[in-house]
Amino acid sequence: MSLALEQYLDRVLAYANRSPDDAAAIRAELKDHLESRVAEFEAEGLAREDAIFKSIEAHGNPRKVGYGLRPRFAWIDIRTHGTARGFIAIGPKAIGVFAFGGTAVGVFALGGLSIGALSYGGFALGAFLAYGGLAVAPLGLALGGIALGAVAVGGMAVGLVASGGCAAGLFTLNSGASATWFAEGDAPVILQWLSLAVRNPRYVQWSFVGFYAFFLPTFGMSQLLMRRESKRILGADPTLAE
Amino acid sequence: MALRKQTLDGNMETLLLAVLADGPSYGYQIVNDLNARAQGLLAMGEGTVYPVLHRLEDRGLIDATWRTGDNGRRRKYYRLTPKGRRAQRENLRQWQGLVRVMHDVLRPPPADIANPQGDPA
Repeated sequence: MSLALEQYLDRVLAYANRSPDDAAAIRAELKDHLESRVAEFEAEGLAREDAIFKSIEAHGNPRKVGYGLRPRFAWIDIRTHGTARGFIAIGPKAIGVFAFGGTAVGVFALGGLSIGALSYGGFALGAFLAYGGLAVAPLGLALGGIALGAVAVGGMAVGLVASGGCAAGLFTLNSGASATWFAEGDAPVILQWLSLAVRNPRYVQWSFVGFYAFFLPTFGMSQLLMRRESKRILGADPTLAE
Repeated sequence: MALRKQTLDGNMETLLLAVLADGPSYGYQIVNDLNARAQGLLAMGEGTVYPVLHRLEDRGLIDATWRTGDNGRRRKYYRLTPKGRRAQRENLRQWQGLVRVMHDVLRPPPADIANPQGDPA
């Protein structure tokens, strides 16, 4: 078999990232296809080198084919391109229980744009907890430069209960400029209860500490894993470096 | 006509089940069958058929066996399972229904409805 075909298969299998047994079976199957196609082109009168080139071209982009051969939803899916899907997903776009990426969607999402139950990122939309430059948490606590949520804490905070440099809400606490509906003590019990997170500044401080204690290691780990994946792919597909 | 990738993506499983309904086959032959039936269908790459075949296998709609082909190489042959045959029949019914609906809705209107005033176009 030609070196070019072997290199093509190496690339496909690097992206597919399957177990050795699965990889061997996939290689045998694709090899049979490519060799059959080469033989067909040769029978049509093409020189062997041209037949090999045309066969590879017809087979498709190795990244597209290889990524397609990954499990639909893996335990861990790390991709340098496209959308990673898995229990733990890391990639430019990531969908998973734990999702890390430029755009991350998951129960726990961390990314430039993150959407989930608990979200951290430049723009964070979290159902129960959002932490970011712009944080939106309709059912829970939003902490951020601009925070919108049931309980919002930030430079600019808007929520049922809001606290911040500039705060607007049904009930505001510990705020600089504020627009509020209820005066302290008059607020309904539910708002008093929600304000627990804001009443005690230490609670907010600890949430910051907890965030960084969680954010830094997970962010570091996801970057490390992504770098390892890039290295692994580059080993099989040096053209990526071009 | 070149079909958009998105149009094909959701329907490749149906197409592969239809090819395999004619009998067991292997990847290369399946691709040739598809190309023979619809030229240009696999413009985005013949290799993109394999992920779909593997997915169908995982879902139990097709099963696979390795056999030695005419050329002496080992080949992976796929065939429909009973579940796959049922799925293929159901897909066919759904498609026939969809084609009928699309044809009824999208067909060009009669001339008197399209241009009731009789204005020149």
